[in-house]
Amino acid sequence: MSQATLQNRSALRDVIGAFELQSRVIGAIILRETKSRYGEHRLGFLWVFIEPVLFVLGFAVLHTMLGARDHQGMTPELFMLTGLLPYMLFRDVMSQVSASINGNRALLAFPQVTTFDLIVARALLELGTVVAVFAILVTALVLAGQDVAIERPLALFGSYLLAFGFGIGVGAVLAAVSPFFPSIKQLAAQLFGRPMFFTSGVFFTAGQLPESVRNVLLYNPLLHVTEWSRSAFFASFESQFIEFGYMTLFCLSILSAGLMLHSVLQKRALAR
Amino acid sequence: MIRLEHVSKSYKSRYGCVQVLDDVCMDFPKGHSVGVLGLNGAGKSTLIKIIGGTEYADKGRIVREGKVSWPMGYTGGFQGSMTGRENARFVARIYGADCREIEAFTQDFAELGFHFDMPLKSYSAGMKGRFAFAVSLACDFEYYLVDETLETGDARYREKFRRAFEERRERASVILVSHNEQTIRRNCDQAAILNGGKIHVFDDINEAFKEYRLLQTKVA
Repeated sequence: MSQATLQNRSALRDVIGAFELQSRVIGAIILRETKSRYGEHRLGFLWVFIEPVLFVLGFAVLHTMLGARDHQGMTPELFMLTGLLPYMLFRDVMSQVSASINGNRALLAFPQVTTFDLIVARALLELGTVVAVFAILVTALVLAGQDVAIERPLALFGSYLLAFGFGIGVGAVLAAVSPFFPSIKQLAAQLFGRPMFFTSGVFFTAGQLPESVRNVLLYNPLLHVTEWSRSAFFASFESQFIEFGYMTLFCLSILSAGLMLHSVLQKRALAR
Repeated sequence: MIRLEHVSKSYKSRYGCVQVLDDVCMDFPKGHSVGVLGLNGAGKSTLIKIIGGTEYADKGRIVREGKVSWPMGYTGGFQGSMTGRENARFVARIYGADCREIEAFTQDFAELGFHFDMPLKSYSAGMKGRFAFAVSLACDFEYYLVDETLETGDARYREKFRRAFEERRERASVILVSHNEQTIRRNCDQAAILNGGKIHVFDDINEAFKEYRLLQTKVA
């Protein structure tokens, strides 16, 4: 065998080995985080259901009282659930990732654990949590007799992926910058907490808004994501306002900005 | 093989910028155990942390091949609310070792009894130390990183640990930073001095100690 192929082979083996190592490390951190988050208190996992359940119930009761059960062919329960998922995915992944490095700094004592592993582990654990919670709630609705047929699963998957990436991106920016400007976390909490909740289409669709308001809110990429995920979920709903280019580009740029800032600033932050 | 390539590291302190490592290039080949001597504050702990990846260098690259331990005796990487068994399992997972083997060895060697299934935060300092050393022996590293001390527990346990570690040393390499001649003589076949941001490697271990004593008197 020639020298070049031999070298290629060993390079390939290095890449595979590095990949194996990284997945092993990330898997171990996820298990450990799961344990410390949900293992200590029996009710730990129940807590994550409380917020979505309260919202869905409240929204459903309100609609029943107003006599408006029909939401363009979507029941208020499913309408609320499908709106909450991208928002919570974004918000919870963001907050977990932004705290991932400080919260687990001690793990860097192990030679093979990097800050990147800490970020990925937290993000994946949160993704798993949110998706599991929603899968369970949707199943509960099916058992309660609601008609659930996911219209376009692939598009649904795509929209959640964007919300997920957006959350990682903002979280990584915060994690990278906050050692230098600690107050940025409060600022972010103000910006991404309530304002994001009210403008991301959690409890409305873009079509229900007056045009002047809609034009402003459509700058929020998460509104596009929510519209997309609802369109993918329901056969009866098709949003006219999704701009795929804007939404995708925005989320992916934030994601790459976050990861770049992380790789540039993290080492300097840890040295302080 | 562990290799430092043009590694630099400095700290800002109240007295200005301290250059702990200044463009250091050094090889730690497999099969050799190296002791690095240095005065207090010379940057010994920083060096071991950079080799172990706990801290990052400002400049340069660290190449690590083979299973490298965390700085021995360091317990910060363990989670207090998890039991000894769970912590041992975590270590086994990130090193890709067999969980059951690591657990069994650790439980036996650390002499923790039923405490092995209790949260780590309930351990006494001595128990925690025994646990940390036992896990690192269980892992069968190719490189053991040691910051200063290799001692924990009472005299009997120290002796037991020393014998086990000696046996490991036949297969593994040790990188040890210390200001103690005894520790280095016992564990290393090569010595170096870290001073003023540079590392000077000596082929003759006695030569290193002579130089180091000179350094000490210069400061005093």
